[in-house]
Amino acid sequence: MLVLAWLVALVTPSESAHEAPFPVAAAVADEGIGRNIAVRVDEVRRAESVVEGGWTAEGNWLVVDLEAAAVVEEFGVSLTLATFTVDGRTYRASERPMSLLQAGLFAGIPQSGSLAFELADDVVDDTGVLRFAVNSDTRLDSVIEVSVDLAELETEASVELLPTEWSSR
Amino acid sequence: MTGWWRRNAVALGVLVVVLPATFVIVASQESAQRGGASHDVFVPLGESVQYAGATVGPAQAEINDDPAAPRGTRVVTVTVKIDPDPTNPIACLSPQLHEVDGPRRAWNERSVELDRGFDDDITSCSSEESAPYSLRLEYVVPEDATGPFTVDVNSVEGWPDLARLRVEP
Repeated sequence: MLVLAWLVALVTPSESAHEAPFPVAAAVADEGIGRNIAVRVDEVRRAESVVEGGWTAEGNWLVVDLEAAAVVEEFGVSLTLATFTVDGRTYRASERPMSLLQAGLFAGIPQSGSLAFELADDVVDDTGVLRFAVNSDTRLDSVIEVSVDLAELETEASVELLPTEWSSR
Repeated sequence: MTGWWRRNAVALGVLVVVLPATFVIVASQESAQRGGASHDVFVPLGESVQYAGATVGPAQAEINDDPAAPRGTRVVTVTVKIDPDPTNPIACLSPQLHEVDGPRRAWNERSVELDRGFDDDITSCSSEESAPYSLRLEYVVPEDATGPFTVDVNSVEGWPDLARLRVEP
């Protein structure tokens, strides 16, 4: 009876399970494909300064070069959610430079570009997770998750963001 | 037993009426709440349809490689004849291109991204155009999208109907 009760407790879904997002784990250089989002992170770099066109800013930057596309539908679909979670804190991709953040996505046609995350100064060498989705409300929708170990990354003096354009692959 | 049936005849009679009525009312409420669902009017290849007062179609399509489109894609060019009602000309947004089979992807009109410039191409129906004209629509699709497609002409006046014109490039 006790064992049975324990089993039932074990398999009972949590309160939020019925509206939880569907995470899709992908490694750097692998494409993660969800319901209506496909993302491939090509390169992750750290920099003391970020350059985009004539704009530049100093800080503790994480720069992500990636390709993103919609899968089935592109009407009103854009890369709305791009976050990096580390040390229990979640950073949204910076809106300061022009980047792939909020870029409209095309069905089956990848676009390349970059995202820049401005981290707190005390974030040094922990492992964090990048998350990408087409809506900021991710309930019951796919979220592409890419794990990034900051300790493996060298910090460069300056990194230039890629322009957002049709991918040439 | 017959005594029981006879004693409860009135209640049983009411049940016979109320139970089916419950189903009908719940079902009609549900369908009314889902009133946003469109009623697709399928138009076979090469034919036209009366829609929102206008004669829409026939539609023609061709698929070509295009130097302005990214690698791995082709451009589907669709022309749709529109003969508006002169007293109340049809207005519509740029139609979407839908895949009929397979992954059933959908693409937006892309002549702006293809940098076609501001030429005379009409990509949406204007409520100020009372003479017959043709929409000329361009869609960038991945190489593996070969059709058949439908072009969905959608007008507020025609709501909740939607004219889906079949094209086979």
